[in-house]
Amino acid sequence: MSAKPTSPSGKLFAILSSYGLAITVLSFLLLDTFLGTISQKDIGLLDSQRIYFDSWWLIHDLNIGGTLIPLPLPGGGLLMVILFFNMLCGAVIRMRKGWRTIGNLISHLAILFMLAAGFVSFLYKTEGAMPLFEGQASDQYQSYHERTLEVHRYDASGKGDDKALIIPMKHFADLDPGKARTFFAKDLPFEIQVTGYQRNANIVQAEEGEKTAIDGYRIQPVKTAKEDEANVSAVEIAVKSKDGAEQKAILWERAQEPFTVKVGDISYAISLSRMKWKLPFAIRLNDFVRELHPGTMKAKKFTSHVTKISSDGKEEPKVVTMNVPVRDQGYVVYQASFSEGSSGEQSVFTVVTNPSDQWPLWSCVAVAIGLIITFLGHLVRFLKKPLKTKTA
Amino acid sequence: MEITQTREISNYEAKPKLNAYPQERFGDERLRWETPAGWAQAERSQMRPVNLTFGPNKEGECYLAMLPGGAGGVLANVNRWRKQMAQPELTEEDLAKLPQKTLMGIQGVYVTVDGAYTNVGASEAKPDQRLQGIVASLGEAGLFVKMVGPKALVEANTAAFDQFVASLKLRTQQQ
Repeated sequence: MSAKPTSPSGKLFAILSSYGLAITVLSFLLLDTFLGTISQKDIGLLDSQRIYFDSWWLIHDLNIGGTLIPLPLPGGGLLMVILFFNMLCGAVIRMRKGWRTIGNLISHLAILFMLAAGFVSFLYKTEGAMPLFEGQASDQYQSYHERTLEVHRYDASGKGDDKALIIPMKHFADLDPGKARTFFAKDLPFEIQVTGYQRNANIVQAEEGEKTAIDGYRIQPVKTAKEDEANVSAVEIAVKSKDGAEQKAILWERAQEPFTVKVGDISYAISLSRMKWKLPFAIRLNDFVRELHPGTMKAKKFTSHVTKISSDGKEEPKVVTMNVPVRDQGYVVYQASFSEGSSGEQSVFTVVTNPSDQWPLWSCVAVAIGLIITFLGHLVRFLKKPLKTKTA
Repeated sequence: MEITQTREISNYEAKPKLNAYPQERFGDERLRWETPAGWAQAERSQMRPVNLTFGPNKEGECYLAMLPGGAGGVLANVNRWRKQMAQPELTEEDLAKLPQKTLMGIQGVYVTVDGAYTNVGASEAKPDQRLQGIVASLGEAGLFVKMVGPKALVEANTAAFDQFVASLKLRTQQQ
């Protein structure tokens, strides 16, 4: 039996590598998963994921006989980090190394790799929609959840810059009515003060003399939808030029045109929209085919016949169908859904880029290899054991 | 807080309409139209829901007016315009001889008058001007598109006027 550690670092290592910590963390993960899954019914997938799984800590309102009791809990993010170090210390560093434990070591390293994949995905994964009508082409996709304030400059001839300035929603989503934040950039001849962010809102005509009205309109907050994709956000801005002049405007995600600020001959289009990402290639939808189950209107299969257009103009025909995506340069284009409107059928693709896209697969393969080695080792040792003779 | 992030603009991205009115931005616009190239939008009013200007110094103006009462009928409005251009009034017979053009799906009288233009409220007439417009009536309501400015400038913008008139549409349902 090994001696108990006495130094602070030794004690910390002993705690981090303990089975007790592993059991505690896994128990809390189980509880978070259970509560987070149940909460999806009331708050929707995105908020449930954010509160229970992407957080360091959380407060769950436990409903006991109609009374809400606030229950503080460690968040999924914190538990995953602790689990990573617990497994690293306990199942990799502290583990006895040898042929007998090689399978276990491989499996635990693979699980660590899977946790790392989750972390990389959390940091770098982007996912969004690319809706296309037949004949239409695009090389960008837009986020389902992430909103941005965007400023795009146009010269006197109406030509826009190649890049637009963007303010991610993490910098303005906390700006409830009454709170304001001012944004500036060295290339902008004005500052933008942002206030009154509403996650879901309509724009309505204001009553005559209404103090909060801007250009005859006001933001009308609407109950937040459970599915975040259905929320239409709005925000108020005040554009303050260097000479002290101020122009107020309402920005709305569903606005058909941006708000324009003119400084001399230069126009600045300011809008609130979903975050957009550019692909290194374009997709043109040539034909969309929807197969229905016989005698019903229920879709059996969606298939999009597309052309992938490379940046050098090279065109390549491809077929995107359910579970058969198109992959190129780290991007995956899936067939997601379709919509039908007055302009015809629109195929909706989901575009994903994730540096750790394939890591969970490799990790699962490695876990399986480790387990096979471990079980085979046990089997061989069992078979090598001499049979005990039964005594009367 | 400094804005540091940017995004690359796609070549496939549609160019937005700059200087759009709040009604257009929020889909609250019942009128739809295309502003011809080189023309600019001027401040609108209840009387002029579409108000455009053109010319190097914005000497030309073109606007749409919608009057629920019709302001006296087609002949009275044609003669009001002629009076503004210091031209004699027309009779019903003269009116019947004027060419017609379609304005938002309604047949209207197409008027072209040259002369010295005195705008409403102006004290002096501007010489060598041309007024080109359509007067249409829908029940009791009157619809007017009027373009006025220096004769040569208006003449040069006749095709743009036709394009603007053809693009005018009234949306019947809120989107």
